[in-house]
Amino acid sequence: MSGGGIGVEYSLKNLPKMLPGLILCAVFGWMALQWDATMSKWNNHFKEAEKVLKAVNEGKAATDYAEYKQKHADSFAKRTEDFKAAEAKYKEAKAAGDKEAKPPRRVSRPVVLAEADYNSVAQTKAIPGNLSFGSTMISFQLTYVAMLLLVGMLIRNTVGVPEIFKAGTIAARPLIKPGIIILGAYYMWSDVLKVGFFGLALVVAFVMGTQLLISFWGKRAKVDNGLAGLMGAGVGVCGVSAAVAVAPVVNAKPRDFFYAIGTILLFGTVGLFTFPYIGKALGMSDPVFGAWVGTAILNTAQLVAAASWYSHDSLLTANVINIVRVGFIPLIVLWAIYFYVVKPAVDAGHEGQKINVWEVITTKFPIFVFGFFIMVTMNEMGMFESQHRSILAGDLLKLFFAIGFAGVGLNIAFDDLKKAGGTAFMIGVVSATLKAVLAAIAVMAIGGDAFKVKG
Amino acid sequence: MSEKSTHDAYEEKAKSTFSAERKEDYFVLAVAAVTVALVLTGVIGPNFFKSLFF
Repeated sequence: MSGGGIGVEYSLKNLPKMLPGLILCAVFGWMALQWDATMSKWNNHFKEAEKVLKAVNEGKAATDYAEYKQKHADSFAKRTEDFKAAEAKYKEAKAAGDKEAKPPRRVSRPVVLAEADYNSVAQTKAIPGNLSFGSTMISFQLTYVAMLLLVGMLIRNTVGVPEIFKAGTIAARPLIKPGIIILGAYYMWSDVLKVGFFGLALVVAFVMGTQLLISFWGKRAKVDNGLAGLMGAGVGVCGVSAAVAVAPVVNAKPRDFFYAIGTILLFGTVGLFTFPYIGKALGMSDPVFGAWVGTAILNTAQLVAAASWYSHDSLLTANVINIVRVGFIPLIVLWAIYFYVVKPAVDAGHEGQKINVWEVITTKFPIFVFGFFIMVTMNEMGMFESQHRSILAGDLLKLFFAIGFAGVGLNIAFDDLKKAGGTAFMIGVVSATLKAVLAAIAVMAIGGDAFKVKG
Repeated sequence: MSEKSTHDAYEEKAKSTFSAERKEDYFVLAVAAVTVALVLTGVIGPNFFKSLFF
């Protein structure tokens, strides 16, 4: 699916129905971001406590907390002065027309331990538990993304989501898309073209390859056209929406539809929760992981979540690959029309049905990707300063993603996953797994430089 | 349900889903445009995000 999938139609008429769930997702999103901020703060303090501990063990620590705090204040004041001098030089150079001049990096406030924590480290020669906890959570990648998905899934499958919130939690998922669009403020066209070129090669090889494999394997295994067509579209390119687009073309039965959707959701969910850990275990760099999930995970919401879970740099790469991938939805529909309708008719000696290619492209193309391209163009034209980029592609992106991921987590229902089954399930899972394994080998062989977004 | 009516039902479902997705895309484009405008005009500044949390 291109992000939202089968959900609630956005309209003023539906607003009262969606509002409670949207508010719930916003509250969940805020709580998870608060968790992230706290863990990140504790982790930074943990690193500072390690430095203090080292100094204490080496006998180089400050005599008391006041001296420790003063040292940091002096150091910060000195760095701020240096920054101001560098910034003035940069402005002068820019005014003189020096295009090579680069702005100095802003000075961040130093991490200073609280008095109680400092004294605890100095006296016990051990790091306080809460600071270690933050560091442990970060090392296990338990960021806001993981919290929203895990806790959301837990709530959905234990106490459940009350009816009043359901429409809104579904409507929250597409709020990932404005995040994808404003992330465009970070890219230059050279990044999009470079990563997009390799992304296109990956999409053609793996996404279209999976579609072809399932189509032909399905025929050989005598799986219904309906089920094989849905599975190919869903597993190959774009999850639930692609399956819905192809369903009428392949005369799918309701049972086929539920089997295909179940398989797609099951594989996507397993991928979402395991790929970040597999990526770490295989030592994938951030761009390589981004390229991998962009190819191997089946829908936008899940791949954006997995990439964000890994790192911001992974997200930058995965986003471009995804933009290329969702552009393929019309082609998948055209393929399904050809393979399941036109070809059998021609093979049987009848005249093949005429395909209105332009109509298929214009009705199935996900137009939100134009927003992304506009953002990249605005960045290329110098309309964003570094501060704008940081707010859009850092802060606000997180806000949109947090609300969207809350919707994703609260909609992972085990009952939906149980609907997968039969031969087609096996074909779907084997094909998706094969795609994931081969894609991992391919992206690791190509290497991180090809997928790195410089910004 | 006959094969014909099943096909028609899916055709209908596909059309309504894509119509809903098209509306969704327009909605997210509008949300993104407003967001960018707020940032470029300085309504949303560098301290906005930090101010939301403890």
